[in-house]
Amino acid sequence: MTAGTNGPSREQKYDRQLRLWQAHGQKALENTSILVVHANATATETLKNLVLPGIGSFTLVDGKVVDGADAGSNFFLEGSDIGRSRAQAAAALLAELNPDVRARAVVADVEKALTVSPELVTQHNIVVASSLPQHILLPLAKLCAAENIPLIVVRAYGFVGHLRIQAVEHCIVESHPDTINDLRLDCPFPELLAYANSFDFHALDNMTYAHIPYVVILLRCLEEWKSKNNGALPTTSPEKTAFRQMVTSLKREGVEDENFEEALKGVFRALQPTKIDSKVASILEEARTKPITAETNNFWILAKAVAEFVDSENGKLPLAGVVPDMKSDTESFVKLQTIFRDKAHKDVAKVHAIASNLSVGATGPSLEETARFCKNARNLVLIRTSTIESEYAEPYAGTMADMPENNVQYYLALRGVDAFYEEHKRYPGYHAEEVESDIGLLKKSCTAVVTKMGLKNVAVSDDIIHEMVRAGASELHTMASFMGGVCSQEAIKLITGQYTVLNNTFVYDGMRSVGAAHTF
Amino acid sequence: MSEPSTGLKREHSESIESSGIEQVPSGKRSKGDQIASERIDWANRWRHSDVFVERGGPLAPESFEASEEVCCVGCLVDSVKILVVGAGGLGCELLKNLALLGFKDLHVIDMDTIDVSNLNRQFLFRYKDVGKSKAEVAAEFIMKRVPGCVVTPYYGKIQDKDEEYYSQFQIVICGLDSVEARRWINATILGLYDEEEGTGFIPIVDGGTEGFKGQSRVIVPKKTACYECSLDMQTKPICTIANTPRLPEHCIQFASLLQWPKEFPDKKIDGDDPDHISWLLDQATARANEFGIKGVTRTLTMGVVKNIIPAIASTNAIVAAATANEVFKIITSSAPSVDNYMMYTGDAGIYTHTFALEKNPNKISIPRSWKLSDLVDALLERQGTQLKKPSLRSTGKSLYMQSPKALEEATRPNLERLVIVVTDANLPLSLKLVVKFV
Repeated sequence: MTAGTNGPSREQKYDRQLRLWQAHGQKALENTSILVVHANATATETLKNLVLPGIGSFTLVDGKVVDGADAGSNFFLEGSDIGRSRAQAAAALLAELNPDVRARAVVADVEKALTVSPELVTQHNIVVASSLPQHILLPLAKLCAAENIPLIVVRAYGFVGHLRIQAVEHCIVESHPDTINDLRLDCPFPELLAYANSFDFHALDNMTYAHIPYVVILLRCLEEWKSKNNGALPTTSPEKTAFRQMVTSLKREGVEDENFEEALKGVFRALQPTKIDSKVASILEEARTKPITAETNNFWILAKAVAEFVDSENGKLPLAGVVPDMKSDTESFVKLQTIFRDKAHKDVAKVHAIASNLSVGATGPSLEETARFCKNARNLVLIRTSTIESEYAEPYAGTMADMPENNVQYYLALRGVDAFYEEHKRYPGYHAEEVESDIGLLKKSCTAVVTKMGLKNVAVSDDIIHEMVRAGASELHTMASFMGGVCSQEAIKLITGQYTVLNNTFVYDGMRSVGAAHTF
Repeated sequence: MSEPSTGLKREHSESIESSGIEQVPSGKRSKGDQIASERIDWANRWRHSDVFVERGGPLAPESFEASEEVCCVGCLVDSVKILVVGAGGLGCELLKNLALLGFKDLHVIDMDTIDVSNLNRQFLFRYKDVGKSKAEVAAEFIMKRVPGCVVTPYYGKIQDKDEEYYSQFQIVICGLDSVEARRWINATILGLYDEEEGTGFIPIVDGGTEGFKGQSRVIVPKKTACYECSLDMQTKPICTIANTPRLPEHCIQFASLLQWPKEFPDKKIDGDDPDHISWLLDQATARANEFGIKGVTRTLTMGVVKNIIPAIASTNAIVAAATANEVFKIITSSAPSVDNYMMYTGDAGIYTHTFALEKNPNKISIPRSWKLSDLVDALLERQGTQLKKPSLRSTGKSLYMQSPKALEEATRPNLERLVIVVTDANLPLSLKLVVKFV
């Protein structure tokens, strides 16, 4: 990341976002080329939020010319653009936002462009499609699935928002949990235990006593407990109570006891056996049997290396090497940090050596990337969404009971709107004079969708059908901007491989401001 | 920069006519143009907003009347004057949203100037604008991009303006980044409401973000919880910073909170001054080395000194859109509004939580006419604490003591005195009184 010839350095300009996804996340963003289908307000709002943080390049494809309603509700179209290509006009105003970003407009009928030249899709790393009719969306989704290109489908329709992510395989190393907890108090490594044993509790003056790190207090108590209980940890409720009493009994009369209070708070966590979370275990299991080829990405190489490490280290993951802040004097805390950091470094070196051996051809994961992987090994996330094709084609086996009733209804009503469009080649309520008659027609479409999905005891209410017709395909700017914001946030997560993306559907009820997620 | 006044509307419509903004050629004229033909509109310009104003819907509140005669969102919102507080990440989005919904009379206040680090999200600003007033540049940009919308900027502090200024708005939207400013606006706007006269009723819509998270809420005077109801204060452990530093942040705070005032007693730290940051970085690094603490960097130093909160375009867009959406619904009555708080969390999947934030039952609002006896009565009536004989002391002085008898007699005259609580010169209207139970 170097300074541009004219203008601020990227570090300055992007400071507020680098604090979230760091330089390597920014690099991933700058190496990304996105395809955006349709230059409506939802799509340009999405792009705005990706151009500002510095996405590498975007291609906007749209065959439509700007009309009065477009220019009225889209910030990246002006009145003077009416009659011009919507893709070109919007791309030009979006490009003004950030000189670092390359902009391209493709003026072509979307359906033709996508069928005639699939390379339009395959030359991009990610695709966003807004308000596509079903007969264009489904082939696009199929192509993206086949090519393993993440696709986000997004729409603002009246007061309803809908977003669907299709990602064949999305691997997340840095899910950024609020805290990384890996203190190994139940199974301390030798250096840690030696340090805890170096404290002579009785000999300490009151000041020092009040600053013993709680980690040391718990380790010593656990060692004592184990020595009296054949090496077993407290597991039952009475045992845990007795253990807490043991900790409390070490408090010194008249001495500040914040560290002991921290220890008591930490008992619950400390007694959770250090083990590998089932989701992470299944990733490692898959990695074990996965053949490594020149195409295998570093996630799987590192997962396989960690799996081998785990086998050789008694089932333990590489140490995260992170110590949370706690009541302590400086020297003890720094010493504790150093012990954890040194052990983590050793683990990283072992994993790196295994990974380098596994890698075919190319050099394999760098030491830095390996260190990141090891630090986050207990929080790995693997997401494989269902395909959009399956969502549309099959009778739906699950329930949508995890969403509020209204959000379920809005989802079904939008599916009804799509079916309506396929049948009548227009959106319900688009023309004021057809509002009344379209209510009945949309009801039919919705009933057909519900039947096809095989949903029992579900019907879209008359009120919601009426509201959908009232909306008449309106892309109310606030709803477009909201869904554009949601879409760009998910896109950034997909691009940087950091934070956990949605799996896989979000429905927003803008009347009551209630959102809900669901996995199809 | 024009100073807002009550006669604004006419002045501004004149300025539009003389500003030479081109009328875009269009075919058929909309109904809106027939009624208000001087507006700079083209056919179907407000279609996306209009459908909700022109058409009735079963989920719209009962107060809503579809108005085909009024014909368009423009007519409905023309007379509405909105204040946007803050022209930063949320403010830029809010102004854009309101202008594209059809609102025509927007005001914006911001005391800040544009910084390079704003450019990753504050899309109304360009590199050439760095150093200029946020409010002024934002207003100019919106008026150019959305012809017919008048944005009146004020480059200055919210505290510069008086009650008369704030009274002119139908609704106030906040896109602020500080607790103090929010408290000031909350106290000022809610203080305008006179329940008996029915005047000064101004809802506040407030948004805030941090990283991938944010919230949007509606504050209706007397009806919903207000900002003070959800406030909790944080304190920094100075003794850790001074005596037992453990984290790089502690070393930086030692430099900024303790060393700087000693070295430069008459100078405040300017987080945007690279020399100031360098000095603090050097001090913090020296202290970190002394204690063997790792991780003091320039980025972290700036983050701690300026209390930087990570901010991205997408989260601002989400929160500002949810916030402006509430304004549209409140003003047009075309749909129900949120009750009353929505949280958005985007860092692990998408999680939203919409709930009715309750008024803080421990909060007693003190009207300006209250005597000390009223306060004592209110404390007695309050549920939960079961006070029988409350005594009140201020710092170092007894206000009213129930016992001993001599003190009760001596302090009794105070019960007839008016309660005027001034907690902070910056909070002229906030009547925050912390009652400790001892």
